[in-house]
Amino acid sequence: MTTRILLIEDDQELNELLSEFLSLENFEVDQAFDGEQGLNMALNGQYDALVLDIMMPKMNGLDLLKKFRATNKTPVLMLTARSDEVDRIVGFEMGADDYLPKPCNPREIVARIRAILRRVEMDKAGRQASGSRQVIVREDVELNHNTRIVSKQGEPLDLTSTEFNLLASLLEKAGQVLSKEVLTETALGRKLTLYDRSVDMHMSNLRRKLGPFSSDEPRIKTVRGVGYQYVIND
Amino acid sequence: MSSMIKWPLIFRSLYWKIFFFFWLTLIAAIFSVATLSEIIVQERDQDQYQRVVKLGIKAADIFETKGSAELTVWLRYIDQEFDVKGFMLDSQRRPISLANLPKNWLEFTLPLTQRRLSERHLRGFQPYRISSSSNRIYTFVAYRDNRGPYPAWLKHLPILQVITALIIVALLTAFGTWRITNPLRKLKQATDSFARGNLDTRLTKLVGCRKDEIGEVGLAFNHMAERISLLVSNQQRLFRDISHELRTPLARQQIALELLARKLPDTEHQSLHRIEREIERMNALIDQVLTLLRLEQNDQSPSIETYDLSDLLYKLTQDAQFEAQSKDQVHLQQPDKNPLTGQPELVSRAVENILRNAIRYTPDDGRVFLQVDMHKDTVVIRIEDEGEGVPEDSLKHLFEPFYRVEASRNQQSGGYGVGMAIAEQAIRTQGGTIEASNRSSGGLRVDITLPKTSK
Repeated sequence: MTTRILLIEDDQELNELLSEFLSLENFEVDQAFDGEQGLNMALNGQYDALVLDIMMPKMNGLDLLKKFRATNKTPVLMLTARSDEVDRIVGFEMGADDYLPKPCNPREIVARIRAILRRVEMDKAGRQASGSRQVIVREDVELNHNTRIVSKQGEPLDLTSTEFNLLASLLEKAGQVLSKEVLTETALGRKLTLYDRSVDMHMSNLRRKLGPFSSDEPRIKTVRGVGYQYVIND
Repeated sequence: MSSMIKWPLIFRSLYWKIFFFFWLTLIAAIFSVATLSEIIVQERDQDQYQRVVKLGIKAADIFETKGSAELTVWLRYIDQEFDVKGFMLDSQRRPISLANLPKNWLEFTLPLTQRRLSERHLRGFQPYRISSSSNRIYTFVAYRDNRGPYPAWLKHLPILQVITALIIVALLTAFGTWRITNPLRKLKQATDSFARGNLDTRLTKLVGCRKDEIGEVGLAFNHMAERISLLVSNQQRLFRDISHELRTPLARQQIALELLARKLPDTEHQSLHRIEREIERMNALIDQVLTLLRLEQNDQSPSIETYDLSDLLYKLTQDAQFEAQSKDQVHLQQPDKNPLTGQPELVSRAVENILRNAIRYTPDDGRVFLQVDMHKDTVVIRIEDEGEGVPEDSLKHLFEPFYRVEASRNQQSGGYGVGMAIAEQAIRTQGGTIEASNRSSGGLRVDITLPKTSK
């Protein structure tokens, strides 16, 4: 089965080159050259993943992502300007699954797409796994692998797919410290790289959405030099 | 030439110069007016010759009828009551009363031709020829005993009024001087602030209410500031646009290169890797330039947050060790917890850049020290390496973009690039300072001082 990718990139030549490269890597690529066209194609087509540029005419990548995520959970790899931290953070908040600074090596793009797809497969497999781990309840938080919904005190939380995976990993091993390496592999489906702050950024979004315990203690603790831990609140 | 004069510190300030100039001028004016009026009064007195003669005749009569003692009483009386001071001589020019005898009274007993004192000394002595009712001849010498350096009116100076006048004059002068020097001080502050890179600095208040030369100076400053900041921002925009525009072809090139790699045999891949590395380098450089420009423009509203510096430095050190591929090169010494308020992103960027440089210039078996010291309101992050250090005269240029220390010295290492400039800008944005110096034992030391709570 071929993997269908939608490439949304306004630079005509870059778009051509990249889709040629992706085709060589056995992806089936559709091209969109501005935000509006991209959103239309994304909503109407059946894609396995989106590769999305941020700076675009008519509708920028972040707006597109926001509208797209309202109805669709297809994984999105975002291409950001290299040094623009803000874009990255906002992008993750909007529900991007991973980002790559632009310009970057196209092999890296392929690796990231594969990583995201692998993770989606893992999620599906997880959902079909035995019933015992389908629902995790810890204090007032309930995580349902089946529906992929997390609720706190009965109220559903609006988590992105990556945030869900991070929380699932942490809750399964609540009280233990999970390293960034492990979290990157389970939540992002890839290896941790140098100066890689993806997990930290997802984690800070997750913390914000989850909020602290009623005692105002943080639910997720950073253990310096080691990783993250979901605190058991006795 | 006036700069050669060593003024006491207080007079070197324009404020006090102007103050004393006005104040002394006003005091001099008061004194000269008083002296002038004194002279006028004196002249009027001379018109009262008749009055003095009358008093003289009366004195002669008193002497003849009541004797010397009564004359003394009379002479003292008219001194006080009529402000006519004088002594009496008989026809042989002998004093007939001890009252009011001046020091040089003997002079008047001599015949005119034998007098030794000059005119100057006798100025103010006015002899009157008096004939008494019995027609005997006397001489009444009237004088004013204002022989000192002070004019006569000083003796009767109304102290309270003078002090009041001096205070009022001082207050007026102080205000007048302040009106002149205060705007100058403001101008200096504005210029300093502008020089520190706050290109938005304007002298609105000064220009708003002053229409005089000082107002014009303010206006001229504003024009200049406007012009310079326009030039600077144009240049920055040009830089930014060029950098952005360079990225697109680089991105295309990178993909084209990968496509080429698929079509060429493996034997050619070494050259391709070479090109790929160069593209990476160019990308990194463009990134740094853009970062620096963004920091310089400082147009993002700062996202101030509380963070743990110890945590941040720990992570940085870990990454740096990993990158340097020598596990124990960086020695970190810091408190366990160190909460600060500021922009962790910027601090991280600054320390990372300096740490990288330190590692690059330290030999493989050398060490890099990162030490944190806590002070009352500040935190000092000290980064020291065991490299060769930097020539003293280059230290102050170290934070300039693309500054190179002696071309021969670091041909291989490629200079300091933009990293140090980014570090400086990042620290300055948060109200901190950054300084470079040489260690006595060799190697470079960089001190970053951060306020515990930055604006």
